[in-house]
Amino acid sequence: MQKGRNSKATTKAPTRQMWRRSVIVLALLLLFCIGVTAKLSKIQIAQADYWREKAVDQQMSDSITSPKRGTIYDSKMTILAQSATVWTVIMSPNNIKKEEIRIKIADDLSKLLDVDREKLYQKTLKTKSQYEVVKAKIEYPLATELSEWIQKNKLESVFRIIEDYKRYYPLNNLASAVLGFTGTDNNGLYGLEAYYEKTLAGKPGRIVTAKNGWGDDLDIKLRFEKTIDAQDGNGLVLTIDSAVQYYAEKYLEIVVKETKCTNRGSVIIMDVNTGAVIAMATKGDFDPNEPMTITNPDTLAKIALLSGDEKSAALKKAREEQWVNKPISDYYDPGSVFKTFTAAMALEEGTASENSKYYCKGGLKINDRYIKCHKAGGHGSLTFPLALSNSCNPAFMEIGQKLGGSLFFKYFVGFGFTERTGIDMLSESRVTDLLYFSEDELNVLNLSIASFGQNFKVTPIQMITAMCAIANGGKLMKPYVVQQILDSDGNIISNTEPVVKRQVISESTSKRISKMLADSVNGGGAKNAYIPGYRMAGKTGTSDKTDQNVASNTKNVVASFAGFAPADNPKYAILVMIDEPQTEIRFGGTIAAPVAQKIMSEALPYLGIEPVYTEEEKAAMDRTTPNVTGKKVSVAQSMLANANLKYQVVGNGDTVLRQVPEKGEVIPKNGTVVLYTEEGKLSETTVVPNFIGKTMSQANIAAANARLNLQISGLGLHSSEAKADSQSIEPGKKVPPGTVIKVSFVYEDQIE
Amino acid sequence: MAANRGTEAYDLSLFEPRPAKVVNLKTNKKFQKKQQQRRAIQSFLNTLATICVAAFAVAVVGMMIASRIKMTELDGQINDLEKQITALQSEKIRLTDELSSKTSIKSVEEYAYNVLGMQKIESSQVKYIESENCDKAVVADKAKGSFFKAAGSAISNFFTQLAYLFE
Repeated sequence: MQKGRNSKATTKAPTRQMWRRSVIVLALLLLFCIGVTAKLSKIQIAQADYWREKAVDQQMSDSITSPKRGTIYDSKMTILAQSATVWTVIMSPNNIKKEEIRIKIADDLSKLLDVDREKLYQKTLKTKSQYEVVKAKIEYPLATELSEWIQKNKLESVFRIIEDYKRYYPLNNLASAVLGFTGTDNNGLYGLEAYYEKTLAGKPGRIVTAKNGWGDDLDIKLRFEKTIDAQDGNGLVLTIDSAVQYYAEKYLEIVVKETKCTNRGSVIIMDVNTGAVIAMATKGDFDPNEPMTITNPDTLAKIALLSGDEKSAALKKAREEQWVNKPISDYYDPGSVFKTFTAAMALEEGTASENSKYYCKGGLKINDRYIKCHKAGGHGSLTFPLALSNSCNPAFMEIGQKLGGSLFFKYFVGFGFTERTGIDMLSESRVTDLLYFSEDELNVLNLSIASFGQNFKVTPIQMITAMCAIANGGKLMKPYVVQQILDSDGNIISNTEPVVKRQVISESTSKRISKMLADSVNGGGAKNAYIPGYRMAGKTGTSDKTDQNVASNTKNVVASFAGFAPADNPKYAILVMIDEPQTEIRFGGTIAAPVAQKIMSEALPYLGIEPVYTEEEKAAMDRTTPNVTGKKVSVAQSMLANANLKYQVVGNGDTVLRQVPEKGEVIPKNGTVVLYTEEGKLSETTVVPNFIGKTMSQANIAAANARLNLQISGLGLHSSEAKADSQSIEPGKKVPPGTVIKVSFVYEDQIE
Repeated sequence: MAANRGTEAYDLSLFEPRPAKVVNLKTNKKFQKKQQQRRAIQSFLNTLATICVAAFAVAVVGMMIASRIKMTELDGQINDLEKQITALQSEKIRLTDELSSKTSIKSVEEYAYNVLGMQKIESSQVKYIESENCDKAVVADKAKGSFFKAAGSAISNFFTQLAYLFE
């Protein structure tokens, strides 16, 4: 055998061809090895990061955990916005194998989750999908009910309920334009939610876990998990006081409805010494819990008539309009309110004083243009304070001209009308030189018109900030709405300190102008803002929307009032602005000043400002009816006389069986208490007359004839020209004699 | 035997191999028995030790497994409880939100006016009192006494405080 093999080897030695083939095969093998090595080098070295990432992606599951968004509080720590866990229902149609299950899901869940059945059924048909959102952000009771339904029907492989966050605004519409709202991804979209997004949002956390080849979590023994906790967002404490905000919104809403105002209204209340915004209201507004819902029924009705793209565009526009925070975003011509600043400029520069005299003959001709006063026939001879109180246009044109364009512009800049206020809120409007006359443009005509507040635009926040400077001794403050930032444990991270931007006018000018504004409320053009005991100061304004009126041939105005209280030691300033009221009488003094009066009447006592009544006010004050029921008639008569009240006895008995008004009820000074002394007379009634439109003396006569008591509200001490605009008991109703009818009076004199 | 080369200094025979002596030892049966017993005991003890070590090892491994199982169970319970806490916190916030909405100043005012028929207090219902001439606090001047009086007062104070401490 060995022999044979040897002989074969000797006879069959490798031929040349065989060598050649071998070399070729080796070369090919070498090339293959080089190729493989090159590819491996590329994967392992050049593309290492890429493939490592791919591998980690394949082997590890990395999920983001959402941080809890910070809470927003008002200045008294009432919660205005907070986040809570909710749940989103995810369906995996890929795991639904039978048609009957699809039908059951569509039938049951459409009822349980209040979703469209057909849409839900269509989702169940997406058999390649593993992720279909059935309903987002459901709350605990519904999530529990759904879990039970899933377990009962053994559909754990089809549904997942994952955690999410929802933003709650417990006070609904209150301060909605200030707060703004968040989107479905919990990011702030509007208002403070957007401006303070980084502060409120927090930092998301991560959970990294190993997963198997099917993408599921590994068996518990082999499980790897690394958690980086989410960092919850910081909270905000606002300067807004929800009670004052409510007072502002309550009365603003009423006036916006009553005047059929077409471009909304706004109110700002500010601490004059710090610039802290106590209330910032806009009506109509929206509910941040449902920001997409249009709240204005007129707008909704108009949109309902549209269809297709037109409808979508109208919806989008209506939503954006209702989200706008009017006090910081809208421009308006300030009108006569601005006369306050022209007066302050003139007093500061000494170009006018309290003794300066002017003459108004109903208008003034400047170049070839005749500019009328609001009072036809003119005011006649006026002193400087009277010119301000009566809001005389020609007098102020003269004051402006005497001051000159250069000084006017210097103070115009000083009061902050050429710049943003810098309030810590989103979308404060830009202030460009297109909105006002520059120094070079202030020729005699422009200066004269600007002196009484027309032909330039400001934002309400600019106006109230400047009014605060008038009130606080001349300091222009930087307004702000966030007082503190708190961490997630409630510790204070930062506190906002008041910032004085500059001294615009002297303290003495501030006091002089404050006194004039107080006189204006106490008996001048702003008397509808009078509050007994509180010494309000302020100025009304009614400005033409000239540019818009010319373009669209309308006669729209902005009625406004800006003032502060108490006049001798100012604490809080208020601005009321009603944009485009559609009533016949639409002067600032008639529409805006009463709103300011009502708001401040409630807000000032709440804010701890005690009333200080003058002797005159005390004398005019209403009384509380003493208890005389059960007493002898003679005793009752004596008690009522001592309380400065009149009486009328009904019946011939000697004991008082019933009294109207009853004990403790408010009755005007010298009011009449009706004393019933016989059982048979107790059901006697009288008919309530219509007091609306009557002057006070006419109303008094009507009340006396009907044997009723009249309780007057909304009047200063100078009440002869005011007329009744509302009464507490409707005309024609039968009431017992002596009943107190509350009648509200307003001045309708045509002072802008 | 090595050749003698005329000197006795080297007796090399001493280094030559010699046959080993065969000693016939007497077999000690008692000793052997003892040895056997000792070996048996040793063997038994070894086996016992091995069993004990094995049992201990099994016990340790068992305990470890049991503790892992317990830990996993507890982990599961913690996760469940954490989920419950989250859910209940969420429900608390939702209910607080509902409560805040129902007890807001707006709701309270509307209820007071419309349901209870209440009215806001009028300025005339507030009675103002003059505080100029009443309720003045007068702080007595420190009496200027003798040294003995001051010492007596200090001692009295000391005992008063002592009595207060032990009260």
